[in-house]
Amino acid sequence: MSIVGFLSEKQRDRRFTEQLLSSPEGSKILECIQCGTCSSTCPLSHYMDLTPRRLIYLAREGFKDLVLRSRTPWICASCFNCVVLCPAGIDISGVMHALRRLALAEGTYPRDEVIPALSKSFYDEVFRHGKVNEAKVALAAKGLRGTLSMMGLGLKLWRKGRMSLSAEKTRSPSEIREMLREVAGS
Amino acid sequence: MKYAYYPGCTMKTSYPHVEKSILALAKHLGVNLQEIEDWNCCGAAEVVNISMEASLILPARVLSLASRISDKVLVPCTECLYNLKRTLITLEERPSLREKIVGALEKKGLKWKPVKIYHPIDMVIKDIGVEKIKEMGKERLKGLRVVPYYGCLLTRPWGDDHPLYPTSMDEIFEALGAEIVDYPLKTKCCGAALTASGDERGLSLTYHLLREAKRRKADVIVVPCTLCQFNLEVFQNRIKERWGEDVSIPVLYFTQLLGLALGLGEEELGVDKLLVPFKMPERRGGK
Ligand code: SF4
Ligand code: SF4
Ligand code: SF4
Repeated sequence: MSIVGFLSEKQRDRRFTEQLLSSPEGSKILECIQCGTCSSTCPLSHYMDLTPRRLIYLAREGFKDLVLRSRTPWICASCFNCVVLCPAGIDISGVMHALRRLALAEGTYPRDEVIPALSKSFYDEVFRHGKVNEAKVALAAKGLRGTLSMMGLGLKLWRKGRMSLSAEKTRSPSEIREMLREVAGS
Repeated sequence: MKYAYYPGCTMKTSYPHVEKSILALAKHLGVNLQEIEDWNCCGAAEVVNISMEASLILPARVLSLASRISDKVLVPCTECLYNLKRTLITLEERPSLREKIVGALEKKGLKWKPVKIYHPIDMVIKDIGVEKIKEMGKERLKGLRVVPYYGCLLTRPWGDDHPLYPTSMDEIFEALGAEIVDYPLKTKCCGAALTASGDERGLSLTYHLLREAKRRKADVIVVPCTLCQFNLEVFQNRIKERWGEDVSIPVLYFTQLLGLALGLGEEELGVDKLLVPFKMPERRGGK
């Protein structure tokens, strides 16, 4: 299943390239030599609709729509294999993060991937409480069906004292909230 | 030796048994851990997907609180470790972000003072030393085939060890008498959050890791990261159902196996809370 189909020059959006170049993670993408080291070392590339090499190319050439609809940034596990091997010193994993932020902001992320929902509910929980109960957040993001499928395992862990659904909080969550609002605006 | 100790969120909810082992080991080694007062979440892998600035202010607050206690902070979760290091480095390299983040800290009466970030492995190697560990351990792990699995974030993108073929845990457990299994996948990713959320694409990576450990006849896998511990341990049944292969093998967090090797008890190290039980090798001619 390819989302690329055929590429048309009409799809190029120069402003998108600029946007990525100005993000902290994307400043070096013009230096990519398309060697493919990232794709060859990536443990998940065979599941990706755009391999890391292609993604970097299409991103820096401004194919915004393709790139922001791709599954690839959501499949990347941030393992940094590619990053330590990239001869051009590109923070490929970081570019994935920048693309995730843009796809979330534009609402173009693939709806059947779980990491987008997980990221949102995780952020909400930090914003509210300053701390996070990951199990709770994960269940919230998975919905009822997903939750039921994890139930047997959850029970086993719970019996061992390895699963809690308690709400963790910092002493003054409003302090964290104000700091987040100030630097991130939400 | 005094450390500011940053447990991170998951240590309190999903890994209290691992935390027990960290505290017990520190005590045994004479290391003073003082938990950071009123710490907050580091943002894990998720907050950076929403906002870069938010993903920096959270660790920055933790580091600032840590600096009140010591110039060293101990961080047992590699995701937290990565976030704290990333914040140090980003604030160092990007003056505009530093200004913004430090400004927001100061408004809350928090000072920005960089501290050194240690994983428990760093602590053992730098503060205690492998020689001393060897002496204390009396080869209690003799006869045990150990796979030291390092995962990603301990050595990548920043760490003292080789990013793809680290040896710190190999050296420690070898000094304790263990037989170190040559394991080429030692820094291959387990799938992180993808796996933990039950996604089969992630799970396939964990399957490969376990399959290879079994194929090489390992008795136990030891890991430096609580998420690695979770992914490698709790999905073993599901992997068997999905791929029809028995991959059962105990998976211990670093301080659990080290604690056992130094003679601490199973319970005080939370080893009794494993889903896949682990037994120390029977020692010949002794108890
Ligand atoms: S490894 Fe670096 S230079 Fe090579 S294709 Fe990937 S991003 Fe480009
Ligand atoms: S960081 Fe992402 S893109 Fe790079 S090798 Fe790992 S999973 Fe693949
Ligand atoms: S191996 Fe998995 S859990 Fe461990 S650091 Fe890598 S991605 Fe994270």
